[in-house]
Parts: sequence; structure tokens; C-alpha cells
Amino acid sequence: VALTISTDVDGALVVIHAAGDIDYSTADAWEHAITAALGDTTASAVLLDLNAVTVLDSTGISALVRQQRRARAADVDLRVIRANTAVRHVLELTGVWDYLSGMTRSNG
Amino acid sequence: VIHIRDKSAAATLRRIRAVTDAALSSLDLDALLVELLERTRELLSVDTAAILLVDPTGQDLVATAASGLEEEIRLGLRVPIGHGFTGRIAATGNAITIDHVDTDTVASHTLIDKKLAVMAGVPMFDGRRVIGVLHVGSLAPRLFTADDLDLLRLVADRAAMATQARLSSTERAATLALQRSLLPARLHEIPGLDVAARYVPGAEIGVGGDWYDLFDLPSGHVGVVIGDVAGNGLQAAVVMGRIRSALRAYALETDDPADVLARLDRKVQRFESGAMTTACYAVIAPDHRTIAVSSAGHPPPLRVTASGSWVLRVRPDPPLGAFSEVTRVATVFEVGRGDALVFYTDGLVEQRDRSIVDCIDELARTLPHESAERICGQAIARLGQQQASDDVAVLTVRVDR
Repeated sequence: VALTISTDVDGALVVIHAAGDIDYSTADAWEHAITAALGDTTASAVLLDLNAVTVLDSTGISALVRQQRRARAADVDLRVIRANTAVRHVLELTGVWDYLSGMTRSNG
Repeated sequence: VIHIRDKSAAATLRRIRAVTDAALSSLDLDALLVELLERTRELLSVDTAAILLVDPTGQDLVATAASGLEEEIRLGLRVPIGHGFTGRIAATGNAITIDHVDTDTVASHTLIDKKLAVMAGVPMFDGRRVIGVLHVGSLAPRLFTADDLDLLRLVADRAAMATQARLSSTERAATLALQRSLLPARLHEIPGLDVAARYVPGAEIGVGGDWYDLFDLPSGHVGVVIGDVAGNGLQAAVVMGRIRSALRAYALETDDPADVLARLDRKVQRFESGAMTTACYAVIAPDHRTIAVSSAGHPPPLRVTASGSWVLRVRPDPPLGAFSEVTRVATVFEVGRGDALVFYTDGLVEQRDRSIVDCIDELARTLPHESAERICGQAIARLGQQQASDDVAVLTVRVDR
């Protein structure tokens, strides 16, 4: 399996753990997991644990950004946690780290 | 010879043979789909069977083949994904059966007008991606058993395989043709600049939205851009074409690359929402002694000089279309005579389990201080014998005077 996704729900907090590759072939499943968490109206925060992610390509980042716009519109706190060095570097280089790690609030 | 005594097992085998028949492969796609649907109607004793495929925008299902209810095709039926019976199958990726057919359960009036009593449908997959829906309907009330749904899944797999083989070859050819027309192998010649570019289509995921461009401006400045529209296929290439022309238009209005990207971002947010695009836009001064660079989440350009090569420290602002109200900056660098600037897309520097930052540093170290053509060649050679899974574009500008 290229990507394993598991979701823990603890009250209003949802944590989605991803392990493996988030790329063209798995980005749909990845985005679907986030969509499902955001669809849970009781959730006030959705945390994306990317510690075990081995590849994060532009399709995967695009899905993250799209879902974060949705989360902000729904007033849900969506952010990346436990990013490993490679994940952090690619998010920094793509100019979205501050937005996805919760360091910057955007109006988007 | 296998002797099967169990009657239901024999029936199952007959069903499987009917839809996996190797002779089907000799038919062209349209004939194959219709033949599959006719066999399915007969095996399940249903009145209609149809296949709808996801269109290139990814938003709608389009009726593509039918047996028993050909009106769907003639009327060019489109169903938005997420709506109605077929739309929900495509959105969820699950089989669905319905025991009454009305405006609450289906989106197609053709199905309601035909007075179908019950329907069953399954998704068609390419890997984990839904590429279409196969559905059947019966005028008389009946139950669809787990075996019936299994048969539908088998037919859907067979149809998906055939469809995907054709889609991928025709779409790839169309995308490649579009991309080639937008990415000239020979760039506009500008006195004093040695320019070269390479584009290598990806193997696994196909042709995508990578682009590069170089143009001189009325002010004497020279604009250089490289970018990447997320996603791939014809849709990404079409969006890329629009973004490429919009950037040229904004470049005529201002020589500040951050301003050009800010304007382009507003356009993308408004008219291409959902299409995250990274781009690096640089403006070379008329005297070729400085270059102003602004990055919308794109990997930084490299500078190759006689005394070594390194990464230009450009602040990556967010991609185009990602967030609203973004502050964009441009950084100005001095350029010496003979220096080369190398722009590229992420396909060149993506490796599993390695930081992209390390890959970029390594790329910078391997580039020779030679002609633009040789630098591009060396960058592409780094990909090795294996074709990259993602597409790769490289553009080099060497300042000769």
C-alpha cells in the first residue's frame, strides 16, 4: 500500500495520520479523508499528522491547500503536525508552511 | 476440462466467461462497451444497461455507451458528480441500488420517463480513481443480489481497462500536442543572451501543466518564467495555457515580477480556483546586469558561474490560487558576464525519503559552467536512464553580455 490513512476522533478533535506517499495516485484518497473529517460538524480542529509521510508532491500539497480553504470557511482549525524534515522542507519551499502549520492566519 | 456439478457455480462461471471473453479485445472501444452491456443485460435479465464516463474536467459524468436505453447517449446526457444516482456512485466510489426511480433518487429524466422500477450501479476504477459508472435498470421490481453486484463489478473492471487504455493514449497525444505548441523547443532569440530549454514528459502520471516562457518587453527588460499547474492531463495543460497568456499580458503592464505574480494570483483565484500553480518569474534588466526574481511557491533558480554554482536565495511566497491577500516580494541579484541562471520544475528534484532542499543543492553542484544548451542537457541527464514519473522542464539563460 502506497499510503495508509488512519483517523482518530477525540471529541471535537480529529487527528488524521498519514504514512507513505501522498502523490498523484493517492492524493484523491488523502483529500477524501480530510473532506470526511471536515464533514463531521462536531469537529473544531483537524490535525494532519505527516510524520510518516515519505513523498509529498504538488498534487498532495494542492489537496492540502484546497481543504484548508474549506476549513477556514467552516471555521475549523486545520493544520499539519509532526512534519518530518523532508515534509517541512517541501512545504516551506512551496511557500505554504506558515499557513499550514498555523503560524499565519490567512483570509483565504 | 473442468466439470462443475453445482448449478449455481456453473452459472457463475458462464457469467464470468461472458464478460471476460478474450474475443472482446478485438472490438474497438465503442463496440466493446455495447457488447459488454448487451451481455450484462442478458445475464441479469434487466431492461437497460449504460456506462457514463467522468469527463476531462472531472466535474461531470457523460453517457458514453448504452444498451436498451440509447436515448441517454443521443441526448448527450451529463450528470454532475455528487448528484443523483450515478453522480453519487462516482462521488462515493460505492455500489448503490435503488428501489424507486424518481426525481429524489436520479438526475436523468430519461430514466424516470422510461418508468424503471429498480436500478443498480457500480463505479469504474483506474487504480483508486473513479473514471466512470456502470448501471443497470429493470422495469419490473426485483432484488439485486450480492452475486449480481459482483458481476457488475467484473463488467465495470473490464470496461474500465478498455476505456483507460484508449483515454490515456488519445488524451496523452492531445495534451502533448497542446504542450508542444505552448513550449517552443527554440525560444525567441535575444541579443546578448544564450537561451536553451528542455521539456521531458513524465512516464507514470503523464503529461502535465509544466511550462516555461521567455520574452522581451517594450521597456528593454526580459521576462523569464517557469511554472507548474498541479494535476496533469489535458485539463492541467489547458489551464497552463491560460495562465501562460495571462502572465504575458500582466508582464506588459509592470516590470516588477512580484506585482505581475500578484495580479496573476488574483486572476487565478477568480477564474481558475482549485488549480494550485507554482511559478517563478524573473525580470532581467535592459543592461543584463541585474535580475529581479519573485517566486510563487516554486523551487528557486540556480546560478552557475565560473567560480561555482549555488541556489539563489529567493523567498518562496505561496503558490498562485492558494491563499488570498498574500504579500509578494521580489529579490534583486547581480549577474556577472558569463553567469547562467537555471530554472526548473520540481520533477527534477523530487526523490523519495530525501529532502527537496538536499536534491536542489546537489543539482546545483553538478551543473557545468558551459553553454545554456549543455547546462540543460546536464540537468536532464541527472534523471538517469529511467524516465521520471513526473514531467520535467528546464530553462537556462546565460548572460553573454
